[in-house]
Amino acid sequence: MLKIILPTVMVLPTALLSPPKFLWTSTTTYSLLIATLSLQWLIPTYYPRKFLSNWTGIDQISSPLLVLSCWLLPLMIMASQNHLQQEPLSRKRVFISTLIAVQPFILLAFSTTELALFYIAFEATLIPTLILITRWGNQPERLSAGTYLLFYTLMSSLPLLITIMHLYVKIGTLHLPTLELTHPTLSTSWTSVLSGLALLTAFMVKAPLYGLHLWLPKAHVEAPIAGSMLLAALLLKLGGYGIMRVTLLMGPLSNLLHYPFLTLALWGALMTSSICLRQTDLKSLIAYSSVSHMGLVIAAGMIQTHWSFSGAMILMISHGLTSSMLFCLANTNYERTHSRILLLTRGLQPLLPLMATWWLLANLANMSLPPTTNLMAELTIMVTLFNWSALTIILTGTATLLTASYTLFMLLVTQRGQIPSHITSIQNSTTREHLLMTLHIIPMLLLILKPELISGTPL
Amino acid sequence: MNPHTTPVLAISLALGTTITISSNHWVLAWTGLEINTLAIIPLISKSHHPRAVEAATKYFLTQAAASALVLFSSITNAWATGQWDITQLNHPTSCLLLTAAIAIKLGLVPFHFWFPEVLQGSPLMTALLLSTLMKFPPLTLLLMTSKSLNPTLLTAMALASAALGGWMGLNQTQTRKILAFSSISHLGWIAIILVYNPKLALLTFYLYTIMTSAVFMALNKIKALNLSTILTSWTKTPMLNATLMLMLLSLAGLPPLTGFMPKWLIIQELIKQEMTPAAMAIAMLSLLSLFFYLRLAYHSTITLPPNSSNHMKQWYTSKPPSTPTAILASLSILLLPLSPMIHAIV
Amino acid sequence: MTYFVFFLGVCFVLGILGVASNPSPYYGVVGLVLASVAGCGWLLSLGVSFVALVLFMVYLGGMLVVFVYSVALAAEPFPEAWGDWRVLGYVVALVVVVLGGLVLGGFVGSWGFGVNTVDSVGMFVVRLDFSGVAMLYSRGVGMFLIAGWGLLLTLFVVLELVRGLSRGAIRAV
Repeated sequence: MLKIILPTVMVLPTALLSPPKFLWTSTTTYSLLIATLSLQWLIPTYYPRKFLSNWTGIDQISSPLLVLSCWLLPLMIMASQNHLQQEPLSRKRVFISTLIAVQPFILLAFSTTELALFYIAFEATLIPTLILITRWGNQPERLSAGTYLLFYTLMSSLPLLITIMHLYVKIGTLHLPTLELTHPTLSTSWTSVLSGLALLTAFMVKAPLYGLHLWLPKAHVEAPIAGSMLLAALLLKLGGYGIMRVTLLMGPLSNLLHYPFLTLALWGALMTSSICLRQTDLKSLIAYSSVSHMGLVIAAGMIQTHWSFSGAMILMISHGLTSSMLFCLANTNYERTHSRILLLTRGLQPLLPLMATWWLLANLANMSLPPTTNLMAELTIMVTLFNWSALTIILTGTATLLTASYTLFMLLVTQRGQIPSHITSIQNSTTREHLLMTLHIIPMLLLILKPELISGTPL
Repeated sequence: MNPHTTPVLAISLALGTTITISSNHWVLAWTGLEINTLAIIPLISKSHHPRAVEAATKYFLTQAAASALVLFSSITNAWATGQWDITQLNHPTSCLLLTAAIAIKLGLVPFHFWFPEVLQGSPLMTALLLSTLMKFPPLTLLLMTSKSLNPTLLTAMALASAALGGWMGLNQTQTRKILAFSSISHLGWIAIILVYNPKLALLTFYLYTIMTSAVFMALNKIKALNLSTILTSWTKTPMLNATLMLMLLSLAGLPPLTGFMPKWLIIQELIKQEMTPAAMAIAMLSLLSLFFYLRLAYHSTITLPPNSSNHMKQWYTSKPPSTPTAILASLSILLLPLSPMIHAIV
Repeated sequence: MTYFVFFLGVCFVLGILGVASNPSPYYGVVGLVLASVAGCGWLLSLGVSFVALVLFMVYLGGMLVVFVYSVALAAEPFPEAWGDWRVLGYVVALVVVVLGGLVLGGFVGSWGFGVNTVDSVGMFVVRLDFSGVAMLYSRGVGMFLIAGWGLLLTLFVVLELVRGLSRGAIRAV
């Protein structure tokens, strides 16, 4: 683990000290190298955990997410180049170091085998994210977005801390592999229901579950592009990952915990998809689409079968790449038209033809067209849900239909139709942007060929 | 103030603190407390502004009353048990009296009203002394008698402190008052653990001292007495402002920073003592104070205005922050990974 | 003897009443002197001559000097004295408070005013508390020094607080 974490930490001095001319180049190259090195984590093995040390270890659930987070860092740096162009050098350095500062914490959170360290790393991502959103966002509303982010997360995660400490006092260890071996006594007392609730709620807010999701669209709308990518691709996955880890600890859940979360997750997938249909703000639309997809992940996490976990894993990875790419695309439009309103940024295909291709690919992936891993994930999750209760097919089916409709709506509105008169002359799309989209789409396409790398099942 | 006055006062402050924390005898401890109180009063009223004189008067009256109560409780105890030893406080009435007296001295909640106003009236460095050094001797008395104190009373006072400290700080724009309320809510954390694990209470106090000293010294450097001054100070000291934000969040107890360590350990200890609801309550109440720390942090660096400040005065170059500030700042941000070692040392 | 002790006690209470009811610190000092003299005499007549002596010295020699000195620095031009009608109200109220306290405390009636002293009852040959002088200077020298430093510091702080023209003093020190 340290082989990757230490180089990641050392990108910080690179960002702070490298000569101005090579600032972007060196940080991007360096982090891409780290991302390449991190691919070794995907090597299949028969052991339950790879690279196991006292505090860290990688299993099939964490390795795809770890590689994804290493992969996203150079992309975030690349995506932020344009909007920082006018800033003074020192601010560029500070921005890049804020991005880099999140990375070790995310890596630790995904790889640690110690629940307390996991909590600390999980919470530690908050401060850099808060700075990204509140310091580098554009509108005055970013202040309330930052406050929402902080307080939603802390309100739900302080009970988590207390429950973790309670577990520690009761069981005597917080080592995850050991905890999985101890069979929790299935008690239905209200205290154990409450502690189960506390364990889950923190991740439900982070994931986010419908009803606890209000901070997310705000944060996404106000954040700069790197912040949006970070939130959509990594931080939401932290929630999903936490649910999968914690439900493993709790054994079979009691119905008191099952029903509300599953109902809210599925109903939320439906509702947020409908909200997307009447959304006017592009970034908000993508954010709600994230909520809808993560609803499926939460539902799968609550079912707790092998199939559902593998579906959740595949959906998290493919959604991470897809939504990050969608945010990048939305940002390319935003940087040219300075508006996120769908009505004002219509019909861009004639102006940015190659970009339209990326829009098409990203949207097809988002609506989970056949060969993509998104489809595989959604099918797996739907099957497990159907197996759990046949009635869920109504909700999941409608949600899929709605997903397809709003994705098509997004594609058609942004790309097709007449160009509005106020944007007849805009800047060409740059090589950097094409590279950014390519680096998003390549893993998506390659994973179609070997989805078992990210399916979370031991090979 | 006369330049020869300050050394006398400083020596007396050190003397009073040392006497109180090292004494075994109630009368000697009381003498130390009185010397401390007397020595800080000229420092509070240094500016001779009416508010400063008012603060000095308020401070003197409350502290004199509290010291008298300390003396009264020790005499009652000696009358009943024949013991002048501080650790032998056995008489229930004197335990209650002592708790009340020390609560007045520290500013724990039912007796907290003097504290924000005294802090608001005094200069920043004196306010730093008031919220760190001046709390140390009474806290030591409380630690030495912790075996015989009433846990229910202390827990109730601690929860009330955490609640009111957070609540009343929400409405403030003056940095000294905000820090006073922050001090009150931190005292709540100290008081809740005091009976169960006195060493942990001491550790919490040490860490609080480090963090709040760093914040006070940073504010003193940029001469920020209210929020709007902080907002325009980034032009002078950008790095200090960025660090100030981290120090404030550390004071709020956000995880990767030092301030999380005492909260973590205290919550663990409380749960060990089967006090999970109290742990839950005090953890949630700390969110209240997080809100005003967050507002301070917003003002310090997170919401830099996109344009430069048109306040000509703010552009003057000034000396870089002092080495103690730098050391305290790094301590108050980076200590969390060392927590096992620190926990073992204290 | 009983009547003498009772007389001194009344003088003590009256002196304190004089301080408490007086609007001007100038004349309040007179009450304070009366109270301290009476109190020390009271203790003396109870047989605690050493403590009485120390108290007398501390009150008149230390605190009273400081008090008079600071009051002189922060003097007002037209001080108000007992002659005012308003003061009568204070006096009545305070007397009521003292009497109420006595009644509630059960001091009136039940105790009586005997000749019990602190150390012993009746005649006693050697006063124990005189050995305190030697103890104070031998064993208690640290405490003695600290207490002395405390008193000095008090004087110092009071002077620091009240000196200077801006604080209403007569002379700038």
